Amino acid sequence: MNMLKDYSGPLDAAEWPQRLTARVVTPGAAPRLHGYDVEGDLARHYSFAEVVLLSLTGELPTAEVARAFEVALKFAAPAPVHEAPTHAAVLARICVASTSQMQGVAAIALAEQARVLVAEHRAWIEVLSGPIARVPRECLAADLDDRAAARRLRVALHGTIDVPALTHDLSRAAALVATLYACGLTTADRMECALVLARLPVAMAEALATPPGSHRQYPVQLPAMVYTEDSAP
Amino acid sequence: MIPTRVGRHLLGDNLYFGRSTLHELLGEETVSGLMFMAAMGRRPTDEERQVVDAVAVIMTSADGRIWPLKLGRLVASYGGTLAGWCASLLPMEGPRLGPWTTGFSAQELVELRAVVGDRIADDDAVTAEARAFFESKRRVVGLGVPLREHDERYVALEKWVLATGRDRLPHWRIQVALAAHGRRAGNLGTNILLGLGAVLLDLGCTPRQISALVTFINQNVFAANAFEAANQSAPEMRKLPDDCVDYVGPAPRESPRAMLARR
Repeated sequence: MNMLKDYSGPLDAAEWPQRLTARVVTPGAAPRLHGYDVEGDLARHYSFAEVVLLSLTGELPTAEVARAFEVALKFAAPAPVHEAPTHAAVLARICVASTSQMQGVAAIALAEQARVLVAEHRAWIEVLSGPIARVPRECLAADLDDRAAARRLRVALHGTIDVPALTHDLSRAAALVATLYACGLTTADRMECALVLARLPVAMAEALATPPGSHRQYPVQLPAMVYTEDSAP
Repeated sequence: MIPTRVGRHLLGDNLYFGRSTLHELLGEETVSGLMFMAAMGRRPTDEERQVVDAVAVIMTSADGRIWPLKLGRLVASYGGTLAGWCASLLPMEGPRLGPWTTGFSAQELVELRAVVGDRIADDDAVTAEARAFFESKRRVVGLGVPLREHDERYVALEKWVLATGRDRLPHWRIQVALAAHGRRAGNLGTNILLGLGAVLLDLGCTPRQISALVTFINQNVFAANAFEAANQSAPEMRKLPDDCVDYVGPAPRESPRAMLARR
């Protein structure tokens, strides 16, 4: 039964813009990114990391900041199979997913992982906006491995920019956050974007290296899940 | 050890929240009942199943131009139904828009219910507390109807609640008082989310369960749009003409290195 012969409704009655608004990339055959000619300028003179920073901050970084950002991306890149994003991407491969489906899975999980990591460092990000009087307890190195990783980051950054926060006894994650902040990614959303970007190729590499359909080679009992009929989960 | 109550694969059967799918649920349980179980962890009563079915129908607002449905159609335009479906669902888990928001509306009512306490039968007390609650908040999730005076779904829900005798239940009464004050003081219409929050709180759901339940049983609108868009794979969804875009970003500029290279 169709009582509504006239299909117009509230969406039709309201006034709407007639066009999309672009704020970063110009449409057309010669795209510009934040005003810079992509093909004739950025592609010839800038690295991918510099273009990423330009995308996320709106401005081209100095060469030192760009090198520091590359170091941070490399430190952020390892996405090992026992962490949920890569594990999920591998499972997608085992489920014979297409590459796009695997990337979708990996990207969602990496984005969630980045969201949580950045949220766990919210207080630290606030501290980084001024002189550091006190490092939040959760940002301190938890063990020798953590401390050593933060030290390696400091060494790798040598000759790039000064990240004063790294003089503190930081965890690897807190040191990474401090470096991204020093590179101009001062907001949680931009920091999350950089973390996903750094890790996606690595998560995908692990997934692509997994034989598709290899269900019987996958440790289905890991981690153990116990079925219960208790009323409260 | 990770505990799970959801399911277990047995030889010759499957358990779903402690029920045999093939011997207990088959022929007995409905799709919406299974979704109820997904959110609540138990089988619905007949009354609950009726409520969930009504909620699913009332929440069927499937115009493909609605923001999350449109974004799902954009993603599905490359031919992937599930990619579009998943994409349209992802932004729903928040307090601003879509079925998940119902839980945030319900949370408002939980807070107001706590203030009202044992004066729930006292209409004057409920009205006074609703007014104070409204005035203490910058925004009440569930008040305010975009693009029209009334939310037609709320109007339908109201009729259904009256017809089924659920209008004397505590959270429904509280939302009626809050809605009335929102209309009077803020000229705000009542959104379906507030009404649904009340109905489902009166069923015994928590706000978080309400977010999940309403989203789960609202899947038809996301799925239908993604499926149709994937089948269409419309080129104009994949890319609009360049002249549909206004660029408002930085003006053309030359990079320092390009300038240096030119010298």
